[in-house]
Amino acid sequence: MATFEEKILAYLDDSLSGEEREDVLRETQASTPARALFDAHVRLGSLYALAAKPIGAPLALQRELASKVPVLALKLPYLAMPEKRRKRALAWLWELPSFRMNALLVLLAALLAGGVWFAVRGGQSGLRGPVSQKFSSQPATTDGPSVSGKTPQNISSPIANVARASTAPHIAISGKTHASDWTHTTHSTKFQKITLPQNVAVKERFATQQPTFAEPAPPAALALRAIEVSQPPAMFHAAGAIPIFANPAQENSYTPVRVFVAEDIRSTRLAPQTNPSEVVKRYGLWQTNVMSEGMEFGIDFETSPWMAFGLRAGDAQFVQEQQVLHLVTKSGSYPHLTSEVTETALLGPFAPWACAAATYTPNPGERLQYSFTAAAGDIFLSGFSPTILGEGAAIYSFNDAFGLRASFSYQAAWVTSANPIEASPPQGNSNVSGSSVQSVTSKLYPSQSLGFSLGVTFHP
Amino acid sequence: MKRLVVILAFFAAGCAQNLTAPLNSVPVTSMAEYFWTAGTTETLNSDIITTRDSGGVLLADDSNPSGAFQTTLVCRVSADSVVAEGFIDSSLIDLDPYTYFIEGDTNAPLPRHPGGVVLLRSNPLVDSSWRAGTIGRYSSPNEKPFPVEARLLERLDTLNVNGVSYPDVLVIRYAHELADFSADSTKPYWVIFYARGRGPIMFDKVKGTLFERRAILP
Repeated sequence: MATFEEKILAYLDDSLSGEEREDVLRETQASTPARALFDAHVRLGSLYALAAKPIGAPLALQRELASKVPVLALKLPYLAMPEKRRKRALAWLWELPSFRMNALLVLLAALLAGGVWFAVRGGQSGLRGPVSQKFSSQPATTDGPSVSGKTPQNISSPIANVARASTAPHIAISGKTHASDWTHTTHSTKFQKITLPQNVAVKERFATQQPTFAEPAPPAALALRAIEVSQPPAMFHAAGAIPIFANPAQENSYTPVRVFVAEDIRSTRLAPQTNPSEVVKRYGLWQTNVMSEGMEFGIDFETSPWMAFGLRAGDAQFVQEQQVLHLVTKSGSYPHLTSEVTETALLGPFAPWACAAATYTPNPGERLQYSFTAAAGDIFLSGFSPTILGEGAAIYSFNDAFGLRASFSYQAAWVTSANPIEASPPQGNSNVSGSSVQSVTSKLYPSQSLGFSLGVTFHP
Repeated sequence: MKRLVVILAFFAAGCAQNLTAPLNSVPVTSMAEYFWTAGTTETLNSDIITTRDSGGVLLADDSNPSGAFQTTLVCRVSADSVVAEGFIDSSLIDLDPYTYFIEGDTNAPLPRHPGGVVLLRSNPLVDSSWRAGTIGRYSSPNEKPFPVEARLLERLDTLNVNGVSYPDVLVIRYAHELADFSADSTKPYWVIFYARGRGPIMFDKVKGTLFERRAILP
């Protein structure tokens, strides 16, 4: 049997049927203490409604709720536990086309980043504590009512406690998804409620001491009936929560863009001609490995906390073939034979490049994030020179906006050959001349590079 | 971790792109392709070469139009090698007067006998050499025979002779070599150009400042 105050709360929550609502009104009109109590609740409701603002719930809290209410995770996949999401990501990787280069790229990026991930994470899994701890440091509101010692000064502890205390006897949790409503109610003598309409906000309501009917308590002493608090979404993002917006205006205030700039050190292996002439030696690279430094820039638009699409660009050293034609007056050290020799020099020009990129971040919102990027684009060097890029990155966030970024990358490039050159003038009026090709110049020279970059990220 | 190591090893081993192999690295399958076949007639300046088969031995008649000079080269042609005998003064390999390719090495006792020269050997590499023969007089105790080394100077993709292009040409020098593998300038040496599918197309003789060339006429 519900108390009259519980009926009043239910009345104000619009959870009573028409007949029950009429009963409450009838009882209120019939009794002065009941009317006073009813008026007190109405005043409290209007008072706290002025201070009520929506709140973006921390990701950890949402996932804990989703672990108890599976339908949430079904409808909102990002609420699934990390293990399930990882399985889903692996399945996505295995469904990629299996041509050799792509498979090598993906495996290399995944394994490189996976090694860093395990090394840093130390094999732990699951939700991380700092999210709610950080969240608890946020004040509930500055213009809210003053509350007594039993009422929460901020929203973190009650929310976290309520959410984790799944066996607490006085909890009623209700929520609404796109497809279905759900309710979970336990033995309830007091009435607490967490509502997630469209997963937009968390409302927290506490019933405290029962006021006396004869002398209604002042609002603060009577009860903290409802608190709705909000924080700017960007702050929650930095604190580890996923921003979920209450209305379009708030959504517009969040900028889902992140940029980075990094210094990239690359190692490129190459196989030059084994017996280059002295003439052609002047033109190219003749070592088997080239180390170079360059800059890399990136900008991503986050379509979800896990997926982002954007651009990668930079200036890097690539390997390019060039046909060199020169005249040898003593061909084979024989003074009576001249011949034109065609050789291929490997050049090492620096050139700008740009790629369209897709990035997957398995642990968004955490202080140390990992991301995997696949990109494809062009090198702006003598014609169309395609390139693909695979990258595994770790980002350590210093604050809301800035972070330190380190990455391992693999880049394959097919660089169009440079225009042929003639290193010496053509032969004169000799009746006999030879020609030989020491190495053949291909149209596109493939090269592969491993890189390590260190830089900073900025998240406006 | 094991997979990571395997992939990195694969990358290290295979990421360097090799240049396309040039003709020089293509092996020669049969030396017979670089020599005359029976029934061939070639004109090299004033020399006319006519070949015929004689019981598996290729005979090449080397003559000139006036008929003042004629010799027959006896050639044993196989996939592995080409050996010829019969070169004399004014022949395609223009030996000095009274000198011949002799049998045996430089210590062959008197009287010496005619010998051959290994013109081609199987699958030669550029700058590789082989012992081609020995040159000496038949019966002169005062002049010691000297060895002749054959060396592949070049393998040309094409050789243009008087406006005609011949593909895949071996340039082989026959010379008495010094310790640094250069030709002994005190003795004559010869350079022969062999075109694949055609045979010898040009014969050079160098002796000091003298240079003589017999090239195939188009």
